[in-house]
Amino acid sequence: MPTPPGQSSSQPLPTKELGYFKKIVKSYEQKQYKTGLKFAKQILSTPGFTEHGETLAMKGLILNCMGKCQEAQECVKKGLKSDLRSYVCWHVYGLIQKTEKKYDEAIKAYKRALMIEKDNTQILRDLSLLQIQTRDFDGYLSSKYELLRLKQNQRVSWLGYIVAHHLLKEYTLALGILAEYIKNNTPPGYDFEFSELILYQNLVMREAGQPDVALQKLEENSTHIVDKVAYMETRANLLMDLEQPKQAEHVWRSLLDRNPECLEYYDMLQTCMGIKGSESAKAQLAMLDALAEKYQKAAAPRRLALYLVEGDELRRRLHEWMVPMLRKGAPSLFASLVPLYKYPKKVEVIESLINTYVNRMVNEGYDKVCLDDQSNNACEPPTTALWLYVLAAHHYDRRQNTTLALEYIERAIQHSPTVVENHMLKARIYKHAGDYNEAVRWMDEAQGLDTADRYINGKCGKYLLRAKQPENANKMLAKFTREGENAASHLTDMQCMWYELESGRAFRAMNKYGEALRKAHHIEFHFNTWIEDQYDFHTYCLRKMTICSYIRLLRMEDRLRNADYYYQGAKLAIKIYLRMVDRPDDMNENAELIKDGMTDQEIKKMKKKLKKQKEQQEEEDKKKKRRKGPQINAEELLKTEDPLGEAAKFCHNIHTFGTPKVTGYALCAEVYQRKGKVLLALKCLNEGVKKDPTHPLLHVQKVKFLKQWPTFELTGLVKDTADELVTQVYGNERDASALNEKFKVDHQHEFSHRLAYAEAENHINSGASLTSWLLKSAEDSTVNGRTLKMMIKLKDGIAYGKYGKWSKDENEKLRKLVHGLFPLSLDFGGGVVHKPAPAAEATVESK
Amino acid sequence: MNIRCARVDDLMSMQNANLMCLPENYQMKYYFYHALSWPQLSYIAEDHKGNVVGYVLAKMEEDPGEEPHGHITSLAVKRSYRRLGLANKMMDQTARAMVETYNAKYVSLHVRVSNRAALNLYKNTLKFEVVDTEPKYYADGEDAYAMRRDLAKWAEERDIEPADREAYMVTKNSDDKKKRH
Repeated sequence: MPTPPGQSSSQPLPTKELGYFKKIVKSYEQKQYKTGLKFAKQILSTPGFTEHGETLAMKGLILNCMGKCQEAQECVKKGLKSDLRSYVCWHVYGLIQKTEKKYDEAIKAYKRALMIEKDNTQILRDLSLLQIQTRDFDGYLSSKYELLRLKQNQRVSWLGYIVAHHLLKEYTLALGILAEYIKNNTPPGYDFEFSELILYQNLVMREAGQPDVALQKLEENSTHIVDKVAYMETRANLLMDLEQPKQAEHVWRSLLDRNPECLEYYDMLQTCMGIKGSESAKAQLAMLDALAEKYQKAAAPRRLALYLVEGDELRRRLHEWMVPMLRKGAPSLFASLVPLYKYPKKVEVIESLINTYVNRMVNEGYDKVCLDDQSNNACEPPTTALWLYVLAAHHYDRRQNTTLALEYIERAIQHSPTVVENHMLKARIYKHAGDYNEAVRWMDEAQGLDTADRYINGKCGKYLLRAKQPENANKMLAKFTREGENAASHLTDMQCMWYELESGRAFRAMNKYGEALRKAHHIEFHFNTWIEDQYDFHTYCLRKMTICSYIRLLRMEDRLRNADYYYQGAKLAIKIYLRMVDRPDDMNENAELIKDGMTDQEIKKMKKKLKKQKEQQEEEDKKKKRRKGPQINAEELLKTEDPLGEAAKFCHNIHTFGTPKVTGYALCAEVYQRKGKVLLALKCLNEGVKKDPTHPLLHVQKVKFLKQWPTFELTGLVKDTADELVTQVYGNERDASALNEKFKVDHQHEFSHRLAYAEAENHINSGASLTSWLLKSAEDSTVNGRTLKMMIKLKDGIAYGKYGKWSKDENEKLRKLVHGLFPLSLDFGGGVVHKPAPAAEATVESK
Repeated sequence: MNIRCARVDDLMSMQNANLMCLPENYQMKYYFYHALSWPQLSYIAEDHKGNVVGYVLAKMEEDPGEEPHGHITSLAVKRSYRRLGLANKMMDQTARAMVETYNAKYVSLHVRVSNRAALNLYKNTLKFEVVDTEPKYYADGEDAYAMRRDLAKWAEERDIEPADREAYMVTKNSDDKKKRH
């Protein structure tokens, strides 16, 4: 007999009070929280029951639902203390811990509750949910077993039990129960849930390595499956697994009939036809051409063919691809060509075609020319010229030829001054050239031409952030966020990653490291939310039967933090924490304002001014108190006592589930090495080496670690493991200098590798004179990759102290040199200068 | 661009595209809800790097007593990928799945009355019709057109097999009767 709540062994309630108690439970279930509290008060004010455990527990549970978390916690703990033998108290204690995200504590509490009340299905259910949430598959299985034992007639019990076996890779058991369940529950006609179940059975069979049975069952049940795409794709894949490429080819072709824009189908078709490799280019081309003929409206077969041909043939095909898009006025033409820019030979053909078109426009007149000679002699519509200039501007921007890019975009603007895309592109060219202010100017212009479009609005906000104007950015973005609310908090509510990252970077660029860290922590917060989000689906999907998608969800959540946004946010945070260690003075955001040569009085005045500003800001922040979302304080973040420990938390999330980024491993290796975590550092270096052994950032960490290696005192198993890893990472090399010198010789033609060499060298020998070598590298035209981005890295690195001591003159030398290469870059004293408007309009010209 | 059915793994990128393109945004959980309730219905267009450049987020309206119909929760194509016909192609895939998997008779959506570009796409390219105006549908107070696209005829013309042919035909006939009266 289960014990009813309110009558736990140590504190049984008399009839009247028990009546109240039942009313508390009922009020709680009906969300009548205030009524519930009233009845609780009745009991708790009765002498002898002022500390009644289960009443206190229920009161706490209700308070928690009302958002009074602190009070709830205290109440529940008090209740538990006074009645340790009540399963209700333990259950509620677990529930409260769960809402506080203390999952381990909650699980322990549920288990204690179950020790007292073994067959309570509600507690078992709550326990099983946390077990699957924390991926305790064994625990999940045993809870699901108990639930099935108690509720054999419930479908969810069976499915949960099956899923538990599947996740534990106990395929035979999972499939056995599934088969039995399917046999007893086959519907007569259309049943979406049954269709999903059959597909789930198939998934388990494939994972169990039984493609033959899977195919057989798929065919047997084919009439029940209403997810046609999944059915056909599964079937085609199974036929391929079973080496029946002819039949598989047939299915892939039917799939192409449905959706000729799905690239995977083309790929699979090639595999089935045995024409996958580059040696079969001719056959591939024939296949694509046949499909292009068949699917006249499909872009994919035509675009894929562009990868396979070169020279005149490429020219002919590009011509056929580009001219209709130019006529139609598709601003997306360039986007469709972007993947080809990986191949320099193809870029030449594109460039030559563009130049041919432009010359003909100029020579024959844009209203008389016909780019397509074969067709009738009709002239081009006037917009062809416009989109051609846009394409040319895109092309030269991509090739980093700012002058030509600007020339073409000017022509486009002259042609059609009100086309939004023209101004957007102009802004983009300035951004790439390093003049963020001018970029903002033109993006704002574009935004003004179409104020109803959020895409441009967002771009404009992003450009403002790049130009270090976060306040203006927020004003701009507020046009599309909830009225009366601060744009930043709305975008945080909406989990807007690009905004969190870009504003974080803007604050970093402005030396506001606390604010930047806050944004990085927002990103962490959003990822945590997304992990918590799966909780409700553990039950929901079993009810809905969408189990294939559910399994995919579980697996996706496990590697959620592989997402690029997570990496970028973590990198932002880790680098600031490292800066806290390396350059603590930087953390005072106003350090830059107080310059050398200021008199004491001036400094005093400045400090006073800053203090006032800060007080005003705090006052404003108080007014804007937020209701929900992450409550993270920028200044608190800067006060951390353990920046390396904070950095390590992010590192843990980057590498634990494997990151696709070699730079991620380099970053983690740095943090772990500084923390003296030898094995973790080595593990990250080793994973990094596997990804890209010569990556410059990884190299720096390799050198730093190797230099410190002899100083580690290791023993026993740790030493053996470390020794093994060192051999894997370094081979026989144990000398940091030799490693670095070899790297220098091997990669002398790459600028980024030269920077890495210099940073490593400065670390080994802080007196090393690298300045003139780096300056020479920056102007050496035989060195590749001397991009503006890398030059800015060099400049920032010098300021950080990565490349030794640089005198004022040397810095100025670098500035002049880079200014010569990138005259528009603000970072090196360039950019567009606007003369004050004397009379009519201001003229724009390059400095 | 690659067009395919959206998977759970695509949702983050879809949400990102939505925040860039449209004023109506949703938290991630709402995307999860779509993908885990109607896994067949949402489609994406992605670039060569796997970034979502356009998407259709779709669901079924499952009110008992009403005939089954699909609903487009959100559709967007990034500005720099317009005029490639992506929206059209994705919407056709979604519509087909609505019929094949859920027996949908029609698909509905809402659009801002001021959004002429979208209205044009829905009306002229995708053959939606305005059936109603919903006052102050949007958070900022703007009205919405409620639009519908008939799928029954469309499916028949293309030999698309509904999930449950018998039920599909029955409701169709009773509809016809209603119209005749």
